[in-house]
Amino acid sequence: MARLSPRLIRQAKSISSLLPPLLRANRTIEAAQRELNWIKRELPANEWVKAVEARDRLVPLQYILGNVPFGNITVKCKPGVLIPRSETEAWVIDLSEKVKEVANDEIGIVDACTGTGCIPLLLAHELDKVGVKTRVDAFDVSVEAVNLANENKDSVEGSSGVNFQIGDVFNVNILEHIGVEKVDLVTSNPPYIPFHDYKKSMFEHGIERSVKLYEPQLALVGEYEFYLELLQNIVIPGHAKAFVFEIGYEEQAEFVYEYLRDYSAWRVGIWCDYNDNVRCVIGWNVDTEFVKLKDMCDHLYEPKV
Amino acid sequence: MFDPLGVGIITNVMFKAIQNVRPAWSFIRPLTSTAVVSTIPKKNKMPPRPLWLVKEDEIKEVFIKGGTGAGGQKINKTNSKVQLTHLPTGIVVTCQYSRSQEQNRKRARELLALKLEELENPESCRNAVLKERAQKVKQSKSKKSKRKKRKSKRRKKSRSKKIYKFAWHITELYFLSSNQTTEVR
Repeated sequence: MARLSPRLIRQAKSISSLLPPLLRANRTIEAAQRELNWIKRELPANEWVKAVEARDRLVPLQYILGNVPFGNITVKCKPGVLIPRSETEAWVIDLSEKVKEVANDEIGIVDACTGTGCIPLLLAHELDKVGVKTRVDAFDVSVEAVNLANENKDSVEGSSGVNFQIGDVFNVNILEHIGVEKVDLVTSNPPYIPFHDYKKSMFEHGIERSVKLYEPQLALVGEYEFYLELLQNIVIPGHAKAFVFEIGYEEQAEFVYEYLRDYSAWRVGIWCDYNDNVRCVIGWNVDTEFVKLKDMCDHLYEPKV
Repeated sequence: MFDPLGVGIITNVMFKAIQNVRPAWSFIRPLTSTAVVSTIPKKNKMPPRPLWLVKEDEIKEVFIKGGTGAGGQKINKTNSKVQLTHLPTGIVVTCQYSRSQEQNRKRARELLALKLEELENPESCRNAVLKERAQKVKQSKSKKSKRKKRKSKRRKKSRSKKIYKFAWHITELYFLSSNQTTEVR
């Protein structure tokens, strides 16, 4: 990335001495000022200097402030657990709108690789508003993540039906292990960055430096195996009616589509984010009410002939 | 010449002090002009935000997140910008005040409502009332600071008066002491 010009740094310093350390992460004065305002608004004055110094080392802002807004709720963030992304926020909001139309009074959701617990908590919060009883069984392999998710659960309204446990998607008996009674919908934001891309810089379809430096590799690196396990261990044995998985590459959606070719009742589609990148693969069983998820898709795969 | 108390300096101070002394009649304070006392309206008694002017089917909402290209887990974005376009008038409002998209959406609607109201009745709209109030607050602030300055100036003068008195006291002592010494001789 291009070096910060001394002129820019001087200009920032003339506005506030707290501004120059923010330039490294933000690149422009306008963005840095916005971030400084957030820091000033959310932290006590004696922590401002420490915060901007941490930002100079590219520590994610969400770890510094300790939380991130996610839809209508606020989710706590701690180092060691992946920060919820705005793309995830967008599809969860979309999905909750669709599920509100579909669900009558009760719904059972399984969320794999839950991290901060943002997906099940927002879904439960939104569905609670319209009076739908939700039972969510969410799990993550990381102990830190489950502890944080439980902390988050206490601060979110309407989340009494959410249950966080330690569990591994690669466990064949995961459904028994977490004691799931009923699966209607499976959601997940599994690691989806292949290791060869994880090593690359942002300019070669790699990842941002602050992500590589401070966010857990465990939550980022993966390719097709997670989708295979999700389908094999949860969707098919649990007789789920629909699923939504976040993806990073179109090949991953194709992989899911190829796997479900043997199941004639399943249809698969793709949801794109605001930058028109493929972001979700959505699947539903045509014999159920979840056919409505079709409206969410930007692209549909041809059903098997 | 023998000068133990530095009379030269004292006289200098004396001179300055004398300069600052007001004429005797100046203790009569000039009457303050009884200008119109404009009361500042309370902040919680402003006209309401005209949110009813914004109809959801008349606006186009766009969410703009920084940067194009890769997203998702690869990049960690912090900003969230909401852009509203009011289709009948073509007014465009953006908001990226908060990190939360929901809050920005709310705030953008408030901004748009204020703009629409201003278009409808420019005199009595909330924006105009707020502007007027801000002006009054500024005026009263400047008035207060002027008053403060005047006060501090007066205090300074009274202090120099004291120095003047003190100076007299010392010179008296000096003369007294010098008289005494001559007597001893």
